[in-house]
Amino acid sequence: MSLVRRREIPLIIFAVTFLISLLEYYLEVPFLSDINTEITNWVLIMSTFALGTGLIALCLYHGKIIMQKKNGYFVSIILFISMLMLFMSYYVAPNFADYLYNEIYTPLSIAIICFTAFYNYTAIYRAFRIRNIDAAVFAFAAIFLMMLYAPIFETIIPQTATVANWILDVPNMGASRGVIIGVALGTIAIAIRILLGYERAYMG
Amino acid sequence: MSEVITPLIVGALTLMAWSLLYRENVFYRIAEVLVVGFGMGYTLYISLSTLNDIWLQPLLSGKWWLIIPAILGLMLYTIYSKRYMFLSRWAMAAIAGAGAGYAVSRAVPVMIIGQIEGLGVKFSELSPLDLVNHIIATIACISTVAYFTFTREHKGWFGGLTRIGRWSMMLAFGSTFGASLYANQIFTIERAAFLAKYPQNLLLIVAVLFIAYDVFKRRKH
Amino acid sequence: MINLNLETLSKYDRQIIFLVVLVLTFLPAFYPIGLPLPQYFLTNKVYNAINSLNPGDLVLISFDFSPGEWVELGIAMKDIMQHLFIKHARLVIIAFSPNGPALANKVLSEIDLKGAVYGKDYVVLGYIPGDEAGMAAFVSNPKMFTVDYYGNPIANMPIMNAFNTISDFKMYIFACYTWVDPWLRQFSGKVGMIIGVLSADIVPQVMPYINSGQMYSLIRGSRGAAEYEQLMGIKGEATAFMDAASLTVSLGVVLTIVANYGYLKKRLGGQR
Repeated sequence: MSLVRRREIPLIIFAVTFLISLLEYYLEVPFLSDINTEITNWVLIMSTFALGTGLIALCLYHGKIIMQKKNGYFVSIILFISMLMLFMSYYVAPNFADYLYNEIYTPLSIAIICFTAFYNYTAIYRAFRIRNIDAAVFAFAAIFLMMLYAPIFETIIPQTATVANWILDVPNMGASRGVIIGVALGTIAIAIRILLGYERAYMG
Repeated sequence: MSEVITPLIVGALTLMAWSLLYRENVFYRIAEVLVVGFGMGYTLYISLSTLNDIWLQPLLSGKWWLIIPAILGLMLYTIYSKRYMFLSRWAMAAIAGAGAGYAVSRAVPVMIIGQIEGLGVKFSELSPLDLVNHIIATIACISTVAYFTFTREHKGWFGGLTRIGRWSMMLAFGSTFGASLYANQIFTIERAAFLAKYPQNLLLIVAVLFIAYDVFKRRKH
Repeated sequence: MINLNLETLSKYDRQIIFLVVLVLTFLPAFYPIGLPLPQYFLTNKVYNAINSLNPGDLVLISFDFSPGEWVELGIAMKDIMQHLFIKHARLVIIAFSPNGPALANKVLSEIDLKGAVYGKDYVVLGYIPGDEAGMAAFVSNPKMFTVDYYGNPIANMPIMNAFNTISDFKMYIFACYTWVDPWLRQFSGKVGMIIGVLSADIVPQVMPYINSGQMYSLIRGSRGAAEYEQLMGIKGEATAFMDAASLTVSLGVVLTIVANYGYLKKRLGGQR
């Protein structure tokens, strides 16, 4: 295998960047701080370049549909027109760009997200069955939290809010604390596994 | 004029998006690609603008070494080539490494030590009810952490402890689920509040007529 | 004549549920009910914290969500920023999400700035890429920008001379739609007060940070925005949504009970 193709090179890059940003936090070493600042700057630049990868993927996919004149290709043409319209208006007519973003894009984004709610209700009706104690506990918390976010329940029966807030502040808080500690330990474990070469999923 | 035209346009686009509730159709797809297209257009603008600020201007003012992250960043695009895909891993490794370093270094003081410190209280300052609640929360925390311990079999007293942890997590996830029902519903409520106003509420009648016509047409066939 | 037997109802249950949800959502929009809105103590805490600010106090704000989350987070940010401008606080606005600066721009265009001057009383610095790496970079050097979001050089802006380190900010308010761990990891212990404007479903996961004092308080989405509007004495957008929220979320409670009533009755009756 040629040198550039070796899997060890990304691992070495990961290890160097990881250790510098980790040690910079715990050690007061001036040159380490300067190196970390520069590496972070490089990472910010690379992350900005990375924003374009999704764009390229979409362009390739929809470009192929247009070139091959597949069924519904005019929809892909609309995508490119809308993309170029907003992009160019930021340079040519910024007021129109603000109008497009604030008055058209934002409300339309909200409208597209609406479906989750409808499917939540059908999921509750079709699939939510209390088959065991775990599901019963889950349903108990879910019902009281739903009642907490419906002001009518709190107005008519204030005790529902008391119970819901107790669930939030006591058992939920304790369990979530345990989850946070578990997530932190897991993050450290994953990082060690990557350093030792056992995990390669981050490389794609 | 724009007080009438803009709400009508947005109302029409909203109803086009919602038409998926009835069935899959071309109007929904148009609304969907508009969202994706506008999103892509803005992302392209903000990427170029940010690159200009953090890379191009410093590069042109003398920081020649910034060509290296630019090359690494461009190497990310080799992910679309089966032959040169391996080059994209270098930049991904750098981004992942820095992010992991920052996450792990701060995870210890904030997420572990900070949270364990939260378990400690002055018992003299607590009322009896607060003390009971604190004990319940502490047991929930410890049992949840115990649940994720897989090096010991969940049997006997340990199994009992992990069962309490599971129930605590069910309470936590149930709370999240109950709250998420509201969080997801609020989007529909906002759009409905918008559609209820004049002149866009007239579009509701048009939408109902459209659907009625489609139902009639499909029944006929 | 439509045969409304159980078989038909179960065949079209999805459509019936969609229709009921739509009716309950639209009904209060046409016929407002005006149900009272109880307050949440954490919303009061945020309000009192901002109310206690002195004119000229530096506040850091970050917009870290997308346009789709405008209802949950954007309206609350509007109310909070309006309150901050009323208190004549000085605002430094950043974003760790690409859409953040445009959403900040949208908020600024929709509120009364109370005579605030750009560059002196507030500035929109722009988007910081890299997620947690970007947060770490900003925390270690808040003066990392050379131009603002609009392309203006910031070196001579008076507000940029008001701070040198992150601890010069009295308060940090962030709005995000995901797990708050990266924000808390990077900003906890560095800024005096951290306030989160969060979606309602994230609130249960954030309670440990509130309990340990690492996060000062939070606003729970549009419900928190409605409570905040009540405290400010205004009838804003979020307040208008609460009637419909009551009706539709009640449907969720009813569906949960109805869905399990028949199932549990059969099961506890010994039939499978």
